Amino acid sequence: MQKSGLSVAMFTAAGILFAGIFLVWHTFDPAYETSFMTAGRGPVFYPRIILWAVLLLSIIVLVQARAESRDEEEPGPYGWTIAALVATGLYTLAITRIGFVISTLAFTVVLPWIMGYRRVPIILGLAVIYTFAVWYVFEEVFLIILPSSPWFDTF
Amino acid sequence: MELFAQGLGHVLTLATFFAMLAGTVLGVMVGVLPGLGSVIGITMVLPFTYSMDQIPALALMLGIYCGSVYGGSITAIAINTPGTPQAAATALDGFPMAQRGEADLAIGWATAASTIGGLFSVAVLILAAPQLAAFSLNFTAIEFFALGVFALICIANVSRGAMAKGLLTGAIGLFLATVGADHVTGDMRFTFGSFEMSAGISLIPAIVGVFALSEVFTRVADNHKPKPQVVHNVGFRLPPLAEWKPRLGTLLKSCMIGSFVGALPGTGATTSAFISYSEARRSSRFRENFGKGEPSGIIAAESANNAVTGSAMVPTLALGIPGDPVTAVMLGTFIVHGLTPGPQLFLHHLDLVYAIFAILVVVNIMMFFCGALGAQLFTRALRIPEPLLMTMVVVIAIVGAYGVRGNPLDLVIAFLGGVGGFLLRRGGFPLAPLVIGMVLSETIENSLRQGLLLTRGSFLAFFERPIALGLFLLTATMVLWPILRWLKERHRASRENPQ
Repeated sequence: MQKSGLSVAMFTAAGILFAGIFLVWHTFDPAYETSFMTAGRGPVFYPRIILWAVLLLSIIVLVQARAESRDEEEPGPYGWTIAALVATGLYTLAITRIGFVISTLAFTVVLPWIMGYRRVPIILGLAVIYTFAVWYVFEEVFLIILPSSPWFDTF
Repeated sequence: MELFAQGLGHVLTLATFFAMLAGTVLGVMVGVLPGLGSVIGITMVLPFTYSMDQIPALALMLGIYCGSVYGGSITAIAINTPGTPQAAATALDGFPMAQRGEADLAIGWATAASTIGGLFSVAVLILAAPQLAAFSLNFTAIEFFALGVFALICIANVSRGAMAKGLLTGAIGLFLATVGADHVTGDMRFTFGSFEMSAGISLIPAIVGVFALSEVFTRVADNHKPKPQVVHNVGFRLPPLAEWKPRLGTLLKSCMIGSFVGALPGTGATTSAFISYSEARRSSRFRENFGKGEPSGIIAAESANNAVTGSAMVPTLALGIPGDPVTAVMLGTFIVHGLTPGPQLFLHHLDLVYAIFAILVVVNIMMFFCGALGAQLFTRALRIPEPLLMTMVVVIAIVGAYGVRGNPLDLVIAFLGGVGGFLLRRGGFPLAPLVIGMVLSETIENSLRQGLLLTRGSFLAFFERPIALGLFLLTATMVLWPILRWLKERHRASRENPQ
């Protein structure tokens, strides 16, 4: 166990607070002053109430987290978590650029590896069978078009 | 009765029957696998329903819903790790039974109690939902505003020890739903000039990210922690009738507790299972044996958590106000399939409403046979290595997020939701209020603005309507109660320890 100065709760609440401040400031943009319908309330009337609540609550959470300054469980190795985040982020970007099949083939090899699974034949088997099974079921059975690659006609 | 027969007629088609069967089997499987749960299960099957007809699609999702609540009990009994949080109370007596070699009997108790609890709650749904919908026809925008705020506060309030965090995530959910075109004026809000953002943040990609992807990231982060030992060869044995007789009181009471608690916003199956278990331990004639493998403990937990499935649908179907994240996702998926829950649903689509009732009856019966015939098979699913399982979950979840609108932005939303959900989980923030906030935001905003039009801009006039005033008072109590309790505890602590 360790005592951390800046807990994840504080970090998250601080991030929300800064985002909230920016968004409240943004609601005063002249673009939102064009409409005064609904009993004189424009389009940012309701979001502004919510954002003020967000600011107030994030301050309360910050203060609570600071006051508690509780012992936190020692975090595990975050390197693999960051790798998983990056891999998933790249996958979501790649699907629409290089197509579902190619990006999923790559992703289904990479993620199990990141999670510590090292049986390569099984990983490769899963990558090929699962990717094509999902692609076939959606494209051919359910007729849901998945993004295709710029290099092949079918996938 | 005639309406129910009509609903049954809609349901007993080949496509719907297979959808119910597939949904129930998949649901039980999802429940068995620790960490997946009902929300992820429903979001995973959602893309498969896009090209299905309305009733089979609903049947598939309702099968997942009911099956997953039950499925968690199998893992709770077999490995003392509940497959879903709802089954945590089941492990207290289920696992000791498994330890003395009666895992099959424990699963028999759990399966039968779950089925009875589920069917009881469907009866509650059939009786209560039409009445509530009819009553709510008297509601104006002001009452719906008060109800929406009350539901959200309830959900944030049950985040034990983290009310401010619950309210904060709820407020974030409310805000996220305002991104895009304003429903009243048509003005773009918070799109920052992006055309893709003008359609707003879709609920399903957000749920995929917040629940499914963040669960995967959390698993990666916790990968170094020891995993529970997997026990195989768990069968099914139905308890003898003589064993039931002295436990019928517990069963009935637990069904009633589950149905009542399930209909309240923010409580859900986990809370009802623990309340019911505590009550059974207090009042049962077998209370001495609780915690040592007493079947009454399994009956109390399992009948109560499955009794939530139907009753949680009461406010969801009748008012369009979901009681927990699972019903929020169900509500989102109903909308994807062209159904808008609320009083109008009962006025214009009564046949569909009764089809839903009939589906729930059939699904609960199917659930019994799934458990009886497949318990051993389902526990084998625990052998799937977690990294492979999680990879499959991510791929299907991503397809689900993309498939709603075919919009690449939804993939980005899902990923950002995953990162945000991961940070919120690590920081001890509850995720349920975020989803409920997203679902309720439109109702709250529209009813607030319509209410202000009705009252010529006066907030004070909102308190002149009795139902709304009652709901506002309840909301205020929900917010102030924890603060007063904290002040009282602080006062007591300072009195006991003046320095």
